[in-house]
Amino acid sequence: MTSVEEARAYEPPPPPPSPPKLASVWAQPKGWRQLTEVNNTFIGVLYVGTGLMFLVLGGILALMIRWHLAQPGGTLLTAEQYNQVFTLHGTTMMFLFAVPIMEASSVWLMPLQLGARDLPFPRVSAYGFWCYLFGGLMAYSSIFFWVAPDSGWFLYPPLSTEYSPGINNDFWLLGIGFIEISAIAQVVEVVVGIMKTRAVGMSLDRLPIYSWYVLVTALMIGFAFPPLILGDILMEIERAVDWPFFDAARGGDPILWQHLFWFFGHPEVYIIFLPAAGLVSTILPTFVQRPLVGYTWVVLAAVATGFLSFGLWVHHMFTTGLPHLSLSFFSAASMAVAIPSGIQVFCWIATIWTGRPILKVPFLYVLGFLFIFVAGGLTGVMVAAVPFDWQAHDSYFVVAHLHYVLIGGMVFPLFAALVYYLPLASGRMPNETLGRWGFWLTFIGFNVTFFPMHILGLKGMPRRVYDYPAEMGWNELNLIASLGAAMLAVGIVVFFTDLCWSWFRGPKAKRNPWNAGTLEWATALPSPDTGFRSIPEITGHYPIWDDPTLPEKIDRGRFYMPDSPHGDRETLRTGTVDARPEQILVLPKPTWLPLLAAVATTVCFGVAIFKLYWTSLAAGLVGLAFILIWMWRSEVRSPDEARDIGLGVRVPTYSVGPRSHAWWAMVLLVVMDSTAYGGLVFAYLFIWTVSESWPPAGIEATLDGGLALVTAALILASSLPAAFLGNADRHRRRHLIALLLAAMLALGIAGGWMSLALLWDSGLDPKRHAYTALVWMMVLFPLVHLGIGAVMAAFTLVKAWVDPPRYRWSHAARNTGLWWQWSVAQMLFSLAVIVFYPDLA
Amino acid sequence: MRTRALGAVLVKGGLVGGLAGCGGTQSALDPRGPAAATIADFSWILFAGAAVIFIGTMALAAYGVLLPDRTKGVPPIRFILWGGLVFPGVTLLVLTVATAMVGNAVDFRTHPEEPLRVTVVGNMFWWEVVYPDLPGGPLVTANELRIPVGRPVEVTVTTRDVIHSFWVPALHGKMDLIPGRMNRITLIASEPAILRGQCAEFCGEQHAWMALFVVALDPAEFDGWIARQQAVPEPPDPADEQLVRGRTAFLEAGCGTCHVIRGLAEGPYAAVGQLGPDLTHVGSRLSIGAGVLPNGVGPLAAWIAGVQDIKSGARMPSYSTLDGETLTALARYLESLK
Repeated sequence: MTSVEEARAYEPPPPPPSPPKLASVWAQPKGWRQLTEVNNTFIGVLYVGTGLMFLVLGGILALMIRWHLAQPGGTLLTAEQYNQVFTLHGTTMMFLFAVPIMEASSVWLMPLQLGARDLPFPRVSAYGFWCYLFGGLMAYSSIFFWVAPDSGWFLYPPLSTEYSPGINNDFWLLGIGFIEISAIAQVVEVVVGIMKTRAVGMSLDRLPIYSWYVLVTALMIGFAFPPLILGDILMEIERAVDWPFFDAARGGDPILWQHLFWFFGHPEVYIIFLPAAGLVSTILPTFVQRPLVGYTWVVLAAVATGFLSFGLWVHHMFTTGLPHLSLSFFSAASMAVAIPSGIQVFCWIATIWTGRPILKVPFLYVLGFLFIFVAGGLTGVMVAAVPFDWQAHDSYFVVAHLHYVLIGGMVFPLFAALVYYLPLASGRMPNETLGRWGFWLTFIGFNVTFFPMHILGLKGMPRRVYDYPAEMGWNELNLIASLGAAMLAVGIVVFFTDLCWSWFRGPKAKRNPWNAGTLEWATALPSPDTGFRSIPEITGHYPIWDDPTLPEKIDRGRFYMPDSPHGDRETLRTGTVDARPEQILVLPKPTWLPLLAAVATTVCFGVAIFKLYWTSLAAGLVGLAFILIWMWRSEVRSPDEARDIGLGVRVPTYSVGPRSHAWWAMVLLVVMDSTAYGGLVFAYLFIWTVSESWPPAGIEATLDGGLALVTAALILASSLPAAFLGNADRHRRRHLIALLLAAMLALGIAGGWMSLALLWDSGLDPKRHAYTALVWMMVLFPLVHLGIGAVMAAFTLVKAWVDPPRYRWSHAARNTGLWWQWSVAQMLFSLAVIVFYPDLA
Repeated sequence: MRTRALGAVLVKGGLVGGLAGCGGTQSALDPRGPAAATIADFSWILFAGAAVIFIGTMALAAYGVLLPDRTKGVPPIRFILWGGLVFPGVTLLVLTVATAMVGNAVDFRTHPEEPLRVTVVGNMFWWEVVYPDLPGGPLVTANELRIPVGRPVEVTVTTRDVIHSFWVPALHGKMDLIPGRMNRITLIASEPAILRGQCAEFCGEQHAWMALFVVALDPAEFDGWIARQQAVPEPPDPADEQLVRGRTAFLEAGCGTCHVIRGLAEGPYAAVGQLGPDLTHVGSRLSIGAGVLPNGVGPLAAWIAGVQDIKSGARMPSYSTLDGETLTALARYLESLK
């Protein structure tokens, strides 16, 4: 490796202009049409900006809370208003700020770090972003009419169901549920992006550390969100049509919701923390001018955190009266997760030791992060200790702990990254003086606000109270916390002032102004829409430190794809493990479709809040139509076409099966969906464990075994043609594909119809008992999947018929086949469970 | 106690040092029973340990920042191995074992002494307290749990509506009240005291004002209290017109639809309702409205006339149409129910 000093001394010459074609195909449309842009550089900046807007909106709610609680008998808000404000504060910060802004950061930053021109599914990121923006505004706006959710961000039934008849919680269930779906879309995007669109030579062991963290996080979202979405669906069904999943009086159990919620809710904390830790691992080495110590350790720690975080959700339920043995297990698991965090902290400290720290503003935020996060981690170990938690749980101690972990663990790294990447996004440098003021106000204000809350909690102050008696000895600490909040707010205002002012007026940045080693700093500033002029070949973790002339070589088009001779937006698909060039991905150009589809989706969910179900259905169909048009127009290429990407390499523009990005996307979707289905099966089994007999006493109606057998046979038969789709596609037998799809559809529709008949004939009334409701859900869930599969099949059928034969539609055919097989598997499993389980149990 | 004092000095200096002394009726750090005391001792050990680890880690980081670029001796991987893996691993292993031990130590279910059984039923937003198996028959009261010092008290908690959580920090940790479930927690008070507890699971609009008082009494005093509570209150002295008027007002205003006053179970307006707190001996309680007001004629009158102003969302309407004299009479009557 070249010495750091040498690298610092080297300054690449100004970049020559991009060839006109490359620049023009990536140019953003002007005026209103700019909204059609799907490129990650544009969407990423809007996405991050929207996240920051929600930080401010959530922060205003926080200030209202602290103002109101500054003294006992606060008069700013009524009890009802306070409950809305604290619920929406938590909801906004978790769902509208923390998770999306981390996804936003990866949408913007990751392609640059990976050496890609864009993510593999630009329209999906655009659609996800617009859904998030509209859905977020919809959920938040409820506060302006004082109809915001008011049962806490955790929405425990029966308070959130039977005892909250208003539309408040529907804003949560439909608004947030809808944003969760857009989070899932981004998972597909970033995972496939990391797996498939890396620079040549960027094998997995050279993957930028941030991408590792994003990969782990994305997979965690993929496993954690679907059960929550399932829980949302169950709760919305209970609220809207009275199926008693969580109603104890009819055999349901409110604890079921707590399991589904915290199975998401705990990983959520790490979903927020890990990408931030990834930013720290990226930024910190730059400011000590040395590589990260223990790359492998850090990667393993991130992976371990991901796994462990799914084994400790019960630590939010230590006071629900669970048996001691299970408490001990979850306590041990909760403590174990401190070990990977410890490893990361020591890797960071070791890295600091190896270098000569430069105390610029981003590094100050990194140090602030270390301070606060370590403190929050230690109180986290405390609350993992069950007897301590019996006291601390739901008290202000936990409020303090979670803000230490989340603000320290996530907001500080985010702020570090915002300052750090300002030159890359805007081409201008941040202001050091304002930055320092902002940092110290934020850091001190934070500690003054939240440290006293530890003591408040131990002195017995519970969370979520709008008022407290004056004689409890809590007054001074509350006042201090409120004053601290004011200081914190001033700090954040100063921080944003620096950010905004410098974005437009800061001094022009020279290239790679912090002398970083990671690939994203090899672009010109601000990073152009094209990303890199040519897609480089990578030999290590810090390509610029390895070869200070790399930016110049990239600029001169010395590497792959230096131009766009066919006038397409393109990026390179490389091998998953070794990152050899394999295919040119032709990417979509600007289009209105994602925005239009997002508007329709928003209307679909938005009017459902007001129980306008027919309008909702109509909007849903319109949205579906937009998405189908978008699928129809998806780039279809001839499998025989190959293009020259420079350096004597020719690659195809098309691939199928496990090599293609579309296959990966579908597999991911199926895997994520399986966790939602798993949640449903869990719900069925859970209700069984809390029932005395199964089927529960008093329910005589039974399912007809013969009918179930016929249903299963039909459904199973429909999977047979689906299994041959891939094979038929390989031989380019267009008519055979059409025939197979038609057979699949016919058998599937017959089977689906029979499954409905099975439910109907059984006489099981879903409103009667949680058992009956779950039997219905067990069938309806796969049935909806088969329905989606049927739409996909019909689409593929038509497309196969209409498209010229030289094209191939195998993405559609194969993905339909995959989805169908998965739906069939679900249905068969469901039928087996609902028919046989009562006898086994 | 020694660890607690040590912790106070080590951890938070002045801030908590003051706190350990002054205490409060609702503080986990001011225990009045063996369970809370054990947990508090355990907590102080945790605080001290956390403080040492925090300071140590920060010192390592500060050393790296302030004394840059020395050959700092330790090879990085060994540093990570010991600091990030071995040390936390061993510490957490010890802590896991300690946690299980403390957990068992504060679990009095196997206590040799026969416990006093009590059922606490959560309501939006008050506590019903039932002594189901007293020699003189069951006793129902509200928002106040009186217990004998030294004897284990097995509290069975459940709820009539949403999830609540029973928390008396000076005695023990929390136990949730969950629809359809009967959770149990066994408390022991080590000295006579008045302790405050509060609902700890968000339960709706008035979650903040769902308090209850635990009064630990010497066993003899406790028996006396039970006897007084089990007695049916004497009807008001006919000579005291105001009390008679108050009782009539109670019945005629329909208070009996929601409230019980034992001894008033006859007639068209019988006081047998089950929706609100049992008021048989309401005058003997420390507070009204689940801790929102002190007891007394004035607060009672204010409460009846303005429930929704004092505690909006409580399940009782404001009786603001009662005239002043009736209101005072009613309040005095209730206050007389000692």
